[in-house]
Amino acid sequence: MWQMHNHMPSERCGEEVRKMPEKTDIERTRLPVELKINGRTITARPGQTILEVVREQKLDDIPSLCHDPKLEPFGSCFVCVVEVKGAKGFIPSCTTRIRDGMEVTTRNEKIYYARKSALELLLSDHYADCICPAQNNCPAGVDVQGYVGLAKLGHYEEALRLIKEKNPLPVICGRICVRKCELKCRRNDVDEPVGINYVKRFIVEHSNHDLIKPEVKPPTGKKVAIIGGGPAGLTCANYLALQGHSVKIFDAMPKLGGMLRYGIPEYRLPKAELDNEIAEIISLGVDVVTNKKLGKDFTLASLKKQDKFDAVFLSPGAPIGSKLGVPGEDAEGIESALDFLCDSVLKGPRKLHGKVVVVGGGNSAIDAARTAVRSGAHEVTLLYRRTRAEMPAHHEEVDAAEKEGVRLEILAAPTEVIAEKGRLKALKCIRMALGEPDQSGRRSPVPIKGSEFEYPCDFVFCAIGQQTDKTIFNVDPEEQRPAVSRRGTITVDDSVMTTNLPGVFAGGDAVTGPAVVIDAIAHGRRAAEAIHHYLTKGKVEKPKWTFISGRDVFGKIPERMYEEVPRIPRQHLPEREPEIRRRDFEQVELGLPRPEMELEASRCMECGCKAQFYCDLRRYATDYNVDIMRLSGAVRRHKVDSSHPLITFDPNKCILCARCVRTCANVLSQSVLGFVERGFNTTIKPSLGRPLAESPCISCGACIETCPTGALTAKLPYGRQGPWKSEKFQSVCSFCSLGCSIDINKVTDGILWATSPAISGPDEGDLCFKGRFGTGLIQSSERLSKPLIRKNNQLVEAGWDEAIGEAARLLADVRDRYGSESVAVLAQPRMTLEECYLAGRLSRAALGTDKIGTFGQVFKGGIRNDLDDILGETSSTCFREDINTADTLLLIGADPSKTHPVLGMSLRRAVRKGAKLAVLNSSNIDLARYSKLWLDPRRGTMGILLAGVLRRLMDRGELITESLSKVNGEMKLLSDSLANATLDEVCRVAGLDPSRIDDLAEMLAGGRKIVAIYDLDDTQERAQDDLAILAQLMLLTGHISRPGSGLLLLQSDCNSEGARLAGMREGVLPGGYSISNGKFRRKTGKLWKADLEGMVRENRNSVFGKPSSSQIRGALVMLNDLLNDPEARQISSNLETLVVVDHFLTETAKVAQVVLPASTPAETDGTMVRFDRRLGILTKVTPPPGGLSTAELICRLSNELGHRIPTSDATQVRQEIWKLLEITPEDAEKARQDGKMWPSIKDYPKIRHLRAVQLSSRTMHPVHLSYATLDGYIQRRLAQMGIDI
Amino acid sequence: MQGVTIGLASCGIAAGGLAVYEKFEKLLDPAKDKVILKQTGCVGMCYREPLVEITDNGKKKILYGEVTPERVDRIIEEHLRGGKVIEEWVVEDIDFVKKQKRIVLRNCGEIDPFSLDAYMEREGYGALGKSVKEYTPEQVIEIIADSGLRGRGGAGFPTGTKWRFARASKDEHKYLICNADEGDPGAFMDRSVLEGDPHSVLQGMAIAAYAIGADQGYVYVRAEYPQAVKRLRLAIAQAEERGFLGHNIFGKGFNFSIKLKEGAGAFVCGEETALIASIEGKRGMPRVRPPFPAEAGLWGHPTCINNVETLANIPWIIMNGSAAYKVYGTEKSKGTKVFALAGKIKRGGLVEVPMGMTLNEVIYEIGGGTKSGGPFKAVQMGGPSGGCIPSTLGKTPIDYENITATGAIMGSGGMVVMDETTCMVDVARFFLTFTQNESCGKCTFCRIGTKRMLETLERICMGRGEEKDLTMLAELGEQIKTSSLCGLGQTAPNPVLTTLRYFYNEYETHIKDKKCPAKACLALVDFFINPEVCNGCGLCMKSCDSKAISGEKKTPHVIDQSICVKCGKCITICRQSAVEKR
Repeated sequence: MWQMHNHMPSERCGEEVRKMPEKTDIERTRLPVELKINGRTITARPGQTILEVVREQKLDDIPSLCHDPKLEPFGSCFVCVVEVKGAKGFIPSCTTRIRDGMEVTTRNEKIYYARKSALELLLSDHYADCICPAQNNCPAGVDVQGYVGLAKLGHYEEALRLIKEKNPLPVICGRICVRKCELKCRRNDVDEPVGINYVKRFIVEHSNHDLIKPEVKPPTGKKVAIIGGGPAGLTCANYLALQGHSVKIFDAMPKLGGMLRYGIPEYRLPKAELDNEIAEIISLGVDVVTNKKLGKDFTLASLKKQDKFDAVFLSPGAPIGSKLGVPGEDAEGIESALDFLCDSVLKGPRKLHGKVVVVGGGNSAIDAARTAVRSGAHEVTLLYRRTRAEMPAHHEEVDAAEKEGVRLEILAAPTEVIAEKGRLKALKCIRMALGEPDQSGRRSPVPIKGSEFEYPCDFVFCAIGQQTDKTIFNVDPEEQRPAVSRRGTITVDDSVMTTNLPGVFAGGDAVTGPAVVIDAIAHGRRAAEAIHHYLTKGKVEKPKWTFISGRDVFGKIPERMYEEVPRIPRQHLPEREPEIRRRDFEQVELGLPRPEMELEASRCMECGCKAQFYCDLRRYATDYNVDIMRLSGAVRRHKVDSSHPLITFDPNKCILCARCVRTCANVLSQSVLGFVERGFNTTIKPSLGRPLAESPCISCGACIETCPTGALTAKLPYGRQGPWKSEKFQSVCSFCSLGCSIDINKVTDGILWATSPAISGPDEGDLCFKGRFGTGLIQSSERLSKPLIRKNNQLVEAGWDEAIGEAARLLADVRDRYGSESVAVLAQPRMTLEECYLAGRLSRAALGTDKIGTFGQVFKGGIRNDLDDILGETSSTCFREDINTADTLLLIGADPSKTHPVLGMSLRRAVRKGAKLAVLNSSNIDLARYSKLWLDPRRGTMGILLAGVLRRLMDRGELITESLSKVNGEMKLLSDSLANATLDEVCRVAGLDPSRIDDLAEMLAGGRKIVAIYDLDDTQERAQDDLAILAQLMLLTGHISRPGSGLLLLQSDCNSEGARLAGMREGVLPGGYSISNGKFRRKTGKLWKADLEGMVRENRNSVFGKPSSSQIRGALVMLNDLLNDPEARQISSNLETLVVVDHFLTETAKVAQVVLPASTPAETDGTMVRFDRRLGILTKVTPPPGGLSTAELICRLSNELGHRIPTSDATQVRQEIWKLLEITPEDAEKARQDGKMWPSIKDYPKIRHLRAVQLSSRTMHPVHLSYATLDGYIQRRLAQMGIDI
Repeated sequence: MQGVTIGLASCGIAAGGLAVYEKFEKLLDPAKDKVILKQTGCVGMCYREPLVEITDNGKKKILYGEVTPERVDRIIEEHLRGGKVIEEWVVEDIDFVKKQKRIVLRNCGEIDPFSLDAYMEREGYGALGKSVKEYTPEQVIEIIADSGLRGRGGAGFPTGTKWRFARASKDEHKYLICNADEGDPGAFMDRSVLEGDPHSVLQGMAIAAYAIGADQGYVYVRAEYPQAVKRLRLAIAQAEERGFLGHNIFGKGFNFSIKLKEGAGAFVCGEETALIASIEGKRGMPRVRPPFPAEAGLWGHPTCINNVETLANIPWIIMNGSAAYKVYGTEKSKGTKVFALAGKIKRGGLVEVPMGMTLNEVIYEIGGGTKSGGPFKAVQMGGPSGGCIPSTLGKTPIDYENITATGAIMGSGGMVVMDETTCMVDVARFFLTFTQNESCGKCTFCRIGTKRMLETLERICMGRGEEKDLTMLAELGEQIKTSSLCGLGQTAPNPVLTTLRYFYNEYETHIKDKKCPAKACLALVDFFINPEVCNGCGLCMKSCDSKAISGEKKTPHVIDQSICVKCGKCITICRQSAVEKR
């Protein structure tokens, strides 16, 4: 039986497939190309494209959307166009290869315009929001979606930090903001807007403000005066102080706050809250001078000349109430609402009586009316000339006023004040009707003739407008005054808040006339930025414009887009009863309780794009100043495909660059996505237009990584998607021995996700499902966070001290009673190198037992040391990237597509590039499809097959025997042992066609580069001596010592190599030294200050013995779910003490006496040794949930047992290892930083011996090695998706 | 012995030729009539189909046009049995035939395409035999190069050079593909050749394969050409049976076999790289060149792609020598070119003319001028990739360079004649609709840019155009041309750009006056009944589905403009021609 499978991915229409042309070396050997780019003469490698050359040599920043360095040039977006002399029109630089003498221009006006047009076309069919409309409509640009999401997830401090990036007054805004955001919230189209402000108020009231105190930059020595301590001035002071400038606020009133303090009543904004918020800003080092007024106590000129201020920010506000402008206005009893409110603050609540009329319909009018109610007025009437609908006041405020008894008199205006003895008696009014809409769009009121009426009253408060105080600039005739408008407001350049005077900026109500707090905050921040530029760069810079795509520009959003949005009614703030509250000034609105706040936050539809921080399309649209409307026309409105549990596909954002299609097909050979339809209607979809969840997607997420926009994004496992800005940490994936580099992105402790590394190493940036989505495990709700102790046969939570003490006591007790041989340490090499080393030290020095090992070693087919006598060590002999350059790839037994998916990707890519793959496997594994040759020997005959191949090569004279003089005698033994491996016999036993063995021998012959891949932990295909034969085959054909050739040994656990190096193996000390090596043993003992002499045994292998019959009475089990395995379970029968260290409450942990929570690789610093013996660096990204890292708890346990381990710090532990192994720390650390193999392979591998082999068709120990505990979470998630791994 | 030959190409079948054939089959009495009934391909006079040719003892030929089954009885009775020619049905369009030179179409309409014997009698596989036996591949390439033959698919790349490239590629396998994915609206040259003379194409392929060293050929033919597919399939089987294809051809160790690949009708698959992708089973989508197909084409092997018409020329050139071919044509464009003459033309059909003939000659002398008898307004050449040439350029000689200079292209040979009732904006819109629908969607400018241009044209046709639209059309058009990967995108704006160039006024009238001079854009015309002419017969009123027409009997009727949907039924039905478009 044999099968030859020569599959080409394009073999779909049943055509016969012919051999692909052989790759030649022409490209590599050709001379460098010389060309001119932007007039500069450049030398580059032949075969490179213009884009590659320009990017590699950093000649210019050519934009490109469809280009991915991992893929063949495609040339579809036409954003990367350049001009080439002699060529017609524009040339896509990503597809055009360089030629000698070529003259390229990458930048001129025509090119700029062509790129801009391409971007405008793409964006004219881009039905998507960059940021959510709420954020877009917030004058201060606060990231609404971001903080609402964080609030939902309970990260209040992080949410507050996000708000404070743009708004330093969240406490105030949380109560009184007019919520322009809610006005534009998309939820308006579904039911009601999200209660954004309720969420904000909850955040500020439930977070610890001290935790997020921002860092103030070092002093710059520049001085800024701020005139007016209202919201604009406070904001400006806040951001200037953070930049290190010296800021002084001058205020005319006794206290800071401006209108916030003197215009807004206590029941809406408690003064205590205001004081706290102001104090936070002042605490940044802001000086304050109160009761000092510009124009009276000092002047602009004096600030500059005498006080040497480098810049001034004018924010004096608009504190003068407008007059009614009717006859008799000077009567006693009439005043501005502003004065009334201000007096109530300065002098305490006024005593009113009788009837009060408030004229106006804005928030100040409502404030005055409600304050009047609280000040004892019998009847309060609000007189407004339009209808209720036109009132500028927030409708919720109007409702509240009415509930408190304020009477509305709409469509009426005062015409005259009737006074008696100079004191107000009545207000003469006239009825109004609504006429045509005016410029503001509001219908203007028109008096109805003859409808006059008199309204008797005792007080009239006017709230019909506010003005700036004109006296502030009038003092010094020499002084230059800032230009003001006809309305009396200061004229500024709105984008940078500059006035006509150099160094003088202005903002707030003094610029806009009476406006709202959030406008003033926006002014303050904008001014702070401009002033900062002015002070540091000497000139004011306009803020960089950022492109914003919005669905609204394409017209009303059709209802079908909201079909799947669940309808949830808006929550309402609890209020105190009107009857009670109208009698005092206590706050009226109470905050939302947490469940209601979370429900409200979950109503957010997350309109803003998840890719907004990294989207290339947006970046280029910004760079090229794209006008989204210039080429607008029909737009396609797609439904978002959210079917996949891990990936969201939003075709609206797809620009058809096909990077996902090509990545899926060419890099992964999966072809989940493809083009559908033609012309303008072309889209990218899974085959047959089915949802992504029903496609054959393997969830590796490579499409997400390559997507230049937000069309393909990863789903975070938190229920909220952000997006949030994150910090990247370099790390290593710990789900298999490949140890692929990953970046862990962290928003805050608790929000993490992995992405491909920014700088891709030998793994070329590929990640599989586990690497990309497995980080979810770290935050699993099932993680153990507290130590557990068994009490009354129940596991109960305990403190660390108690639990570690108990563990030490129990283990010591067993040891003392049964001898140290009765205690074992079983640790899974998912731990770091340092943790493994510490575990070894704990075992030998603290517990006094050499019984340390891994689950696989002890229970599953023993220790794989097959190559120790042949090569000196059972380890990989070449590098992972040698796969990329190999001519022949030999895959023995392993099934990387399943167990090590990224290696599967590398192999497929290598085949695509021309490498020949031979698969030796009894099953039709995925990679067999890509192989040149697939041999399927009967199970258990792998060794015989390899022996047959070796014999065949021997017979053909392919072996390099001359250099093996040292082992000549052994060579004879080996060849004698192969005597029976004749072609016929091998084929008979293995069930193969003889010609196929010849084919394989042919593939291995000659001077090719060969990489053989063998999975040490795959026990399905394993057969007796197969690895030994394989190694000798490679050795004798010269492939062990040839650069680029060699053996790669896969393992399941990420740090199996590290465990070996750390000496986590019975009878073996760190560095692989045998414990019977007296010199090293004594050296180790000396370093550890421990006696290891009693651990030497004649027969190492018998020490552990059969687990079932062993005398082990006490065990420390780390990251092993032993009891999940039937064989291993037998060990428990003799156990008296079981201490478990794990992430989860596993089956084993459930029966333990003590359970200690372990840390994951993301929660500790440390080192991993990958399967090809390269070092990978782990960075602590987030603290372990239990507070103690695995290393720390090992040390504490050891200390408790009486052996003091001085440090658990990864760096120091590593230094201890280096010291022990006599490697200079510098060399070791350099190797580590470079990701180099360690120990050095300068003279490794040495050929030690050859040995005779056994030809047997007995399968070895057919067990399934589980990817147990750590992957359990991943496996469950996979299972949920219907993916079987 | 008499012969009756019925034209049964797609044009003949469409005109009802099959029924005529069956009628002959039924009525002819083998005992009585010594008549051989045959069928043949397109003779070119599609405007007079169904055509029946009667030969008397192989000498005199009489061609009857517009033969219906009813006319068959009389032809049998009077002509075949009575020996009397029915003069009034005889086709004597000498002008149509006179100026043509039929090289590509030499066998079309002359032989039975189902019969290899017929082909052997007339021409046979002699050219292949000669090539294989007498010439080296290099010599064959030399002959073709010397003939000056250029690719007839549209771009006009010298065939000899193309073969030389393919020959030069070192690979054990090479492919030869016959591109029969004729997709231009209104073009049917390749179809007619495949239907009428499949063996010439196969022979051309075999010679090409011999020249470049290919051992496998593909004919990529549209599935919408069922007759061509049927005939090709049969022809391949016949040629294989006789050893003209297959193993060791002519005993000279030359192996070549041909497979048929039916295309699914995507226009862009006419583009070489898209065509290759399609054969490979992928989405028909052009890819970046280089590598050119001659280096790495089908399945990664060197591949030469020639058009049907190009290949049909080959056997003739081999048999008659390159010098004979060079006699025809201009300095840079040698030989003849086949055109599908269509549109508002009197004698529409398939014509083959020597290069260098002027547009006027083709349109007026061969085509007989416009149907209405007036001058032509423009001629659209090159299909959706081409452009509109105004009548003022009627003296332009037809060759690659001169046609390209007008802004149109030679293309594969579509030639659509337009008269004053054709709106040039509407024409541009029509062709752009086609290319927009057929864009593979890969390149930004082709996918979205043509859509935006199309939307603008639609707006202009609706009377909602603005002046700035014209600048936008011109600008975007140029950008699309220079910023697209394949020929489809690079030429898609041509119909718009040429009409803008030659008929700018017409655009302006649409935009400024909101009028369509050709009265073709319905949004810009109103239907009126001329009271002077209307006799009040009431026919229009009855036919109007919208009930927009009213009027008393025998008094002029009136169209209510607010109800009228401009369906045009009234114009068609009015016997007085009283309904006018304004």
